[in-house]
Amino acid sequence: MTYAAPQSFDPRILTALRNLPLAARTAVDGFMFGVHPSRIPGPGGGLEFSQYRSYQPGDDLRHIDWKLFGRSDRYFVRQSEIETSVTVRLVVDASASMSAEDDGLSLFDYARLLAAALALLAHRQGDAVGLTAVAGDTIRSLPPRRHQQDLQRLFYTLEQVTPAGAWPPWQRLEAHLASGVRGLTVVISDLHERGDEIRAAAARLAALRHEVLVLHVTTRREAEFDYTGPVVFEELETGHRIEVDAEAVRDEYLRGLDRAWRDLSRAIQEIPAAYHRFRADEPLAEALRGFLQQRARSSRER
Amino acid sequence: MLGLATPLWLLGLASLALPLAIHFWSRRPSRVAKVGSIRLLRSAPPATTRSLRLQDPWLMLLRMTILALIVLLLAGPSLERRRVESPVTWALVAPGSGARGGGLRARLDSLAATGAEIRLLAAGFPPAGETDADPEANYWALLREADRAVPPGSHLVVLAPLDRGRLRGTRPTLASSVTWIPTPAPPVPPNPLAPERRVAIFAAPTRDEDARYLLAGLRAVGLADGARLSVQRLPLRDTASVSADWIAWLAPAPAPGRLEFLAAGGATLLTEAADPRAQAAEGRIVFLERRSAAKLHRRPPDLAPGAPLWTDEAGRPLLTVEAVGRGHRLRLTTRLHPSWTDLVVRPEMPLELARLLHPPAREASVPVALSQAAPHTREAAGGPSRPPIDLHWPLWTVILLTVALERRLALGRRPNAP
Repeated sequence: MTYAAPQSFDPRILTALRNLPLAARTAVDGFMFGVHPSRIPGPGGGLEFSQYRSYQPGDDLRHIDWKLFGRSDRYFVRQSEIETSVTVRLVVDASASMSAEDDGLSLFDYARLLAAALALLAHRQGDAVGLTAVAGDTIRSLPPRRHQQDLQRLFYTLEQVTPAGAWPPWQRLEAHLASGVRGLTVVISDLHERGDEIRAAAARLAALRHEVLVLHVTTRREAEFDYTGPVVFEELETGHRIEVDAEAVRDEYLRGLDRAWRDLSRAIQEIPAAYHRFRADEPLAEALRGFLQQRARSSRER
Repeated sequence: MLGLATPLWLLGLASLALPLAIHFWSRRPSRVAKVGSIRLLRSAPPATTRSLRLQDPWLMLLRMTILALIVLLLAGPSLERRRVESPVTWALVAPGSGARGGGLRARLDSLAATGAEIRLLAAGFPPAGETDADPEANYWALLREADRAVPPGSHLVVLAPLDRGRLRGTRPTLASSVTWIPTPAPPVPPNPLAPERRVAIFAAPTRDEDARYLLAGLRAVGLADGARLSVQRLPLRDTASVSADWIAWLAPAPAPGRLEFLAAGGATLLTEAADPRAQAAEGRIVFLERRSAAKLHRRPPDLAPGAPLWTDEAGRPLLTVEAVGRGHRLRLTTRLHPSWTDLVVRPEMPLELARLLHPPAREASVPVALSQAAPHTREAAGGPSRPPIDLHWPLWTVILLTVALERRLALGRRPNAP
């Protein structure tokens, strides 16, 4: 896998384009250069013949080519190229906490770009891509589709969403997520919960035999806490305020953050779901690679 | 006591309001950071909110101190030492007066009992002791010295005779208060009956008027003093036969050898300016210490040798005295003529002539009223008697140190600052 010039991944530059499809294409093109095609050999009932191989004990008897047995008196298993396309659902957290800004780039801008890039990537792999943007009680949902127009609609929907409200309970989401075919579900969120509603949703999806990938996006300031002096911190979703001396609490905060993220990571992996954490000032490549690996695994397991 | 050269600069202290205003403006709407979650901050110790209020003002106070110090520096501070000393009382006894009478002794004892320092009214103000009277002592000059030597507001008790001869110059104005207790005048050597002074005047025909003015002056001396004078006017060529103890040679030519011989033998020889190169002069004549009203019109440019008795206002000698053998030479670098000086028509003329006829040591003591002798007292807030200590450089040092401290505190507070 080779990379294009690193700045093409810089989320700050990409969001400055103010053109989501173009930004997503730039990010994906830079990343995708040299990626092998999406088709991998595997057993199964695909239409396109790939090869024969001799029967091994344990192979499904249904895969034995009986006509060939008739000709050669030996058992062969017919292999064909299988369709590896999967159904990808992007669940974007658009709760108010996602509007946290970091050096001029809001967390939601980053999440939006990430979602668009993933959608484009999946689309190019031939996958059906759906979107669920969760902005409080306003949930916009697009069912997984494979066509170019559907992708454009997805981009458009992403651009229209503004962060608001808090993550709703599962009952509100169920109608949007539990229906339709199973596949890979990517949850893009800052994972700021009041209880464990986001993790609970991921767990529900996993229970519905979705392949769940949780992309945890954070701001640089959240991770480094490089505030100085007295700062009033205001919680975006609740409006609660707390005034602290940033220097005095930094060490305590960073320790607590480290512990919280480790707990979060463990909890999500126990769901089971894949967990990746990204900082909004980091290039998208890592996020895209995580997605591809997960997608490959989910398509193989099918 | 701190003194300021330009106290107007203290208006600059108003600039102290600046950091104060900045402080309150920047503190009230404390920076708001919108974050996704403050759950982790909730566990922060609540005491930290207090520490941020405690830490800031210290730095601000330091910065305001720097500002105040700079303003103070601009105001030109100096330390006046005079007020540090507490006033003292000096009893100044004229030398020679301690020898007489128990009344003075008792007075000194009572002064000493009230804490006064007994000192002699003499140069250096040594502790009291028996010293001979100095006939030339100038009490007013000595009192000025004493006033400079003591802290302001001190009290000077002067025990001295009220003698006009010892009160020369202008009446001083002192920072100390002065109580003058007159003592009897010290015994003057009894003035022997003034012997008859034989005065001879040689005048060239061209200087006939000079001789007339001198004669008139001498006559006035005789009338006032009762001194016995026998004045004779002689033609220039009669020098051989003259015998006199006060000779005036009024001629453009230098005095002949015979007169010089008489001067060396104990007589006083007065000569006039011989130089025809006289220049116009301005100003008045100054007799030793006091300025006279006599105007000077002309004088030759060169100066005569000897100790000056009269000078012009620039301090150049007009009349000098020089000891020659047992006698004296008096050299007048002007002429006793109204076109040269109007001294000759003024009342000072006989007085000065009397001084020239009689050496000053034999001058009788002239009593003066107490109200005329006692120096004036200046109001307490006078000029500093000693040069104040300049606080310029010490203040600079303090400012630099404070700035260094401020920098250290400011940088130390933000170890992670870029």
